[in-house]
Amino acid sequence: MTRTTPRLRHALNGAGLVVILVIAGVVAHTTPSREQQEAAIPVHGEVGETVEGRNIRATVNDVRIAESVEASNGWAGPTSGVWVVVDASVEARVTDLATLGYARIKVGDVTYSASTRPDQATIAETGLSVGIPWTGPLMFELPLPLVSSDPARHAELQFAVSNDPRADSMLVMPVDLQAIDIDAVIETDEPVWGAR
Amino acid sequence: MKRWLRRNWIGLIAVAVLLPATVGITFATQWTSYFSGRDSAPVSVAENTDFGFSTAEWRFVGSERISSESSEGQRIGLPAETALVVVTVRITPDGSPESPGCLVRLEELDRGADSRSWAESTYDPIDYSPTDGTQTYCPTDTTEPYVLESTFVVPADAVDGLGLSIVVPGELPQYLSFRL
Repeated sequence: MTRTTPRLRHALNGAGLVVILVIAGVVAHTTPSREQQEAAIPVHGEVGETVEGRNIRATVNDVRIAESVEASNGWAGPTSGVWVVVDASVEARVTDLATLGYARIKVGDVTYSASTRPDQATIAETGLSVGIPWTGPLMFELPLPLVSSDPARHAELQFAVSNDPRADSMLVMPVDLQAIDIDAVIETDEPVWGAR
Repeated sequence: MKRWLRRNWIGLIAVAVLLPATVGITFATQWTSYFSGRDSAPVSVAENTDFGFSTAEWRFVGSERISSESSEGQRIGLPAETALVVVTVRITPDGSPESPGCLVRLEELDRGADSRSWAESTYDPIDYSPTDGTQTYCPTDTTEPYVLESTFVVPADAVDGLGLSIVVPGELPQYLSFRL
């Protein structure tokens, strides 16, 4: 009753097993890691143009650098470095359950958050309205040597709703900090709600 | 091959039935729990119609739109190119010890996935005073009828297809939807 399995069948079974193992290996090695799966989704744009993500729309109108800042509420932040002042308009697109919780500038491998020290004189961490922009300054405190370093030529502004942009849009706009003259002092405008 | 199929047909049919069933049941369970925990089932109610929902009767009385360009809009301090939408709902509790609390939003009903929504303007920097005798929230400690007045600051281009949604947390996934 027993039958001898033909050699050809053995060979086919072996080949099938090898194919399955190869496919499994390719899948295992190309599957995105958890970090990659949860990473923010970058939306690239330029300074001066309106950039849109899932629930955020922003326009960076100007980028300036100064040794000191006089904010609209009278705050003046002393620093041993410099202030990078970003004038921007930011709004939500879909729902106002959103804040500008992620406003950062990346220079090389180092990332700086927009300062909240000026309190209401900046739009950092402002609650966003749907279709009604907040326009005002964001202030980043950077070491002086950094803005004249090579990585400063390829700095990036990064905006996202909430302070955790994972798995959501992150607006990314390149800026050449080296090309910007450093002023002695910058006076910033009061944040304005609505079209300016 | 035919011999192999004949020998294993019961197992193959079992796999063909059980595999899709497993996937379907898993997805159905996930989706059901997802939708049942959020406001996913609107109950449309016409204007000036009493509608029983939770432990109260709800009547959408009407809405008013104040443009930022109008003198009233400028007095309120509305931002440029916006409007204030004022929505009035009459609520009559049914006498239960506790009236239903509610969460109110204004939303666009006809834009599908691009639909925008707005929370009440409670914390917006405007100078609007609610109409005397109205409530700006749903008090749970009253058994008397009251009028709820909700206000929303929307961009000027939000004109058509607006609707008021009222969520009573205990009634999810159903919620009331009044087309303005």
